[in-house]
Amino acid sequence: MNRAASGDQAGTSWLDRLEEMLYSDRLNPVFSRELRRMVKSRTFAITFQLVLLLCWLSYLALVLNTSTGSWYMEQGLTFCSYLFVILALSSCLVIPVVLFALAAEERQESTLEMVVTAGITPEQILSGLLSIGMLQALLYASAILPFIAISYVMQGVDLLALLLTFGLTLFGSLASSVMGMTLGACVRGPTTRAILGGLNVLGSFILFILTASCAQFMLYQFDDLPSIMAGGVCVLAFLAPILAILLGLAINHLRMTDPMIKPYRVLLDENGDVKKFIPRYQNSGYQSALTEEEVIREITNR
Amino acid sequence: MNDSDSTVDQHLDLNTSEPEGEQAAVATATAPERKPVLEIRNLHRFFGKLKAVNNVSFTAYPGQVMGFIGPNGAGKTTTMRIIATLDLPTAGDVFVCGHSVVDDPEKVRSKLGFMPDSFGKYSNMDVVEYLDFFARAYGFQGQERKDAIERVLIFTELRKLADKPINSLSKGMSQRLGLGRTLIHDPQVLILDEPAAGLDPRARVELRELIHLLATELDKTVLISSHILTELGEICDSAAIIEAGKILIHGSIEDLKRHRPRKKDQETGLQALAVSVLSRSNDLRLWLLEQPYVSSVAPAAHRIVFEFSGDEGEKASLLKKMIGQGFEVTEFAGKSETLEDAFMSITEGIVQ
Ligand SMILES: Nc1ncnc2c1ncn2[C@@H]1O[C@H](COP(=O)(O)OP(=O)(O)OP(=O)(O)O)[C@@H](O)[C@H]1O
Ligand SMILES: [Mg+2]
Repeated sequence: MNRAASGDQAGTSWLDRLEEMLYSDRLNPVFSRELRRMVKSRTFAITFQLVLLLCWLSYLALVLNTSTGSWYMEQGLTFCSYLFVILALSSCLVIPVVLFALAAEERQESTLEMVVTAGITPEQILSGLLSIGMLQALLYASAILPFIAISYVMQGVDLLALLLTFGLTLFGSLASSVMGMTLGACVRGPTTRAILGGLNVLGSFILFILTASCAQFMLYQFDDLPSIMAGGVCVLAFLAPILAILLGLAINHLRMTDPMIKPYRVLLDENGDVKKFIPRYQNSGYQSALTEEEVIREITNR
Repeated sequence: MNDSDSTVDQHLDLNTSEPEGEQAAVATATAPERKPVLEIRNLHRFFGKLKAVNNVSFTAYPGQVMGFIGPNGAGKTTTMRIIATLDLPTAGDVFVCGHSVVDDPEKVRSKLGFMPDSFGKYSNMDVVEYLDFFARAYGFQGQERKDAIERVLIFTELRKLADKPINSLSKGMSQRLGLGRTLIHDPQVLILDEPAAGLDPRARVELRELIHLLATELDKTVLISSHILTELGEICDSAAIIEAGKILIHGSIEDLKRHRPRKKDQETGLQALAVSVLSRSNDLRLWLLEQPYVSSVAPAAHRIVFEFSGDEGEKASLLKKMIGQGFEVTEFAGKSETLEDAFMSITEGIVQ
């Protein structure tokens, strides 16, 4: 393949120009890295094909189930609700598992150390992973979109309801992505990976059920717009702080050092041996100077 | 500040003019015309009660390749991780090009390349994509980024493998890639944690040449840890030997080889001698055992090493007698110390 750095004829072929556009300079490095990996990843390709297959199957079921005549109103809505279940399945169940693996890999394979020394912040890692998750959700959604269009043509589905349900599913995907990423960032070894991985699958499943049933409710009960709005606001108010806390937790877990810890200064005697340890940035150093034993006791406690 | 003359201030910047005393004296003794680019000052790192790094201090200058030698668990990786801003010291500080790892980790990162002893490789990624990611991470843009990647590919001779997936590379090639990655932002200081571990002799020689090139042509400072002492003797011009978290000795390779810490050598006047003969080396060995002042005769093919406790006159008469016995002596000399010998005698007896 012709990569960005292959020198000579770079920038001449349209493929190169496309790639240059796709992998622009302003891109988050983690995002561009994951985008390149995603393109080659088998998980993504298989999930994408599965989504398409499921859509086709439900379309087939719809056509076969329909005797002549009036299949419009009712069937269109049923088909549409199936499609959103498929979308929720791929974006609330598959994506968090993928993001969990990516975040966990970073520490387990000790690539995180190199990433951190290269000056990448935990925030950049998380936003990179999150955007790759959202991109995947959008790609799955785009696979479903033609079928949604068919269901819309059949009528019985409101355009605003469709848009809101889309938004809802994407939000469900975002929430489960944040959860998967955070749990992945907390992984330290095989044991924590197994426990947190199990937790992640469980959590994603719950979020999938929640998202899918909310989507059904939205599609079928769309007449009651005010109560849907009120419900949405409540859910947002409830989930937003949780997501913020999870993100904070993930950031902390991706840090190599604690910025609050300040090393001691060393007070040496005439022979160059350590006489006392003095806490940093403390002017009255002499009063609070510690012995080695006291330092060890203190750092064992913190 | 309330520093007395015996205080080493841990957070002074090289730019601020603070009294430096001992540090300055060391600096002028080694390289008067140059500023150190890597300076480790009274570094401590305790893990609970374990003192993994215990008052380690040394400096390194541009163009210097410094070995960091120590047995397993000595504290090499711990020290290197602190230098690379991946861990914080319990006490003390490290300065890279004048920036403190505690106060300015970001500035340190831009001046420093760190190669961990083992590093993971991403799946579904080519060599070029891997380098591209790190070039982006260091903030290179557009043509600048392409140039940086190209420079590394040429230097490490990985051009031909540029489109290969990184997890299909051999150990030697991935070590090269790892070294290339640390070079992508053209850092002044390179910290390599056991880069030669697991390499075959050929790959090791190639790595050695790369490191040599970095120091001599590009004036980089390289700190390299290893167990392979003879290897280090050829790569490094100086070394620090660490054991149980303490620096036992620090100096040029020549100094280290000459180092004889065993007091009894000086007291008893024991001296290692080596003699080479054309033939009859076995006879010579037996004959030597009967001579006065001679002890612990070690057999070798044509070279015999033994310990001699006599003075210079007695040494001369031993040689005369040897030739008189009809031995065809081709060499008669004090046995030259190897780095291995120095290491063994320096680290003797200290078990972590
Ligand atoms: N995170 C940690 N927590 C507790 N102890 C640690 C930690 N990291 C290192 N140690 C301990 O510190 C000591 C020094 O370890 P370090 O890895 O620096 O040794 P090393 O010189 O690199 O050894 P090796 O040659 O085996 O790589 C060891 O006794 C080790 O067990
Ligand atoms: Mg180590």
